[in-house]
Amino acid sequence: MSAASFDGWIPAIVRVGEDGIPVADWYWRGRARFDGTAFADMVQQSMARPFNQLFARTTTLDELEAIADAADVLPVAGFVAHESRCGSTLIGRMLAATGRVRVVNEAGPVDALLRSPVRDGVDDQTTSRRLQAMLRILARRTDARETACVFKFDAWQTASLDLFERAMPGTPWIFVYRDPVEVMVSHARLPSYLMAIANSRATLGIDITEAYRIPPAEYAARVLASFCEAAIARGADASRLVEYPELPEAVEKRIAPAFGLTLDEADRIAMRGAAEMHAKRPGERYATDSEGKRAEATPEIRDAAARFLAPVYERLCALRRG
Amino acid sequence: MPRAEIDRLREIILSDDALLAELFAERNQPAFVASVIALAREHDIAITEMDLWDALSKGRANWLQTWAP
Repeated sequence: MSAASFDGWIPAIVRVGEDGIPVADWYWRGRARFDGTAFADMVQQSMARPFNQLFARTTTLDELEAIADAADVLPVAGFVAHESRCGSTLIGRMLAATGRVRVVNEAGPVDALLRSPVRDGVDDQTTSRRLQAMLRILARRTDARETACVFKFDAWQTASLDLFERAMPGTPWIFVYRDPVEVMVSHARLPSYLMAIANSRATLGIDITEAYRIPPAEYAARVLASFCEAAIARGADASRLVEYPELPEAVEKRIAPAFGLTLDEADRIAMRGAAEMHAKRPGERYATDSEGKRAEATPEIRDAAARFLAPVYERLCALRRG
Repeated sequence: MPRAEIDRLREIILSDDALLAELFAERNQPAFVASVIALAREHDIAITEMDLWDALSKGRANWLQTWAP
């Protein structure tokens, strides 16, 4: 099994196989770019094709590690951790707009390594080694224009920053956050898996029966606060914290330099063009909706945000101001 | 599932960029199966249309279990 024979294949699913051994299912994707679009959206279309339903390949994670070891990979310039619904996708879109930065956005196979059942009974050392392999696989060189790779995490992966740091020591990371009420209204408008009670063990460390007893707004505020607390616990400081109102300018002025990315005028023009469009609906022009979100907040959202999320938000702001 | 036959077919397809592009682009399942059966016959690979439909169905189930909402 040579690494080259997996060129063009992406490990899109990590699962526990029938014999109890974790495996990766690889799907053909060719040389299509990762441009900051959510990983699931990018790979779904190719996974749905008959070719991949017949010819998908399966390897063990040990085999995946061997393929990663032999791969020619882009330097990983940085990790984008975030609170959710706070502008992190915009950051990815802008960096990817340069054409020189690959942005892998919320890759499911990375997350699977951190969750049950793949993670069950696996020590941190093995998990960080598997993470390193998966990140290397997703950073393999496929486009001569690309010079660096940035990974945007799922929000709940902030709690696993230590494992990512162990997997790729010295990789710079930032944490993006936003006004508590605005983030909570976004989740109220469009619920996320992050708020699913079934995930209460992973997000809040509590059983599902206990989670059911928590009012929804309080539950959401506590989950979001847990992401922010995790960033602080991992050493978030002025150099690593980015608040939503700093965007999009902070991408050029703070984030690219922090990630060691040198921008030329063409990059800046491309990035500013990307900033004008809606990050998650690229066909639409972006218009800020902060005021609308605050106006839409229910008393329950305002109360829960003030009690459970605002305190850690204020600490993030204080740390960001230095 | 006739795994060895499918592996062999994959190898043949991956060695031919034009064939790979054509089969990857095919979204119509019956047309895809017909093309793969023709390829198998051309290379004397013993696999039936039923085998292919069965393998496709299992591949689809695997994908849906993990990814579909």
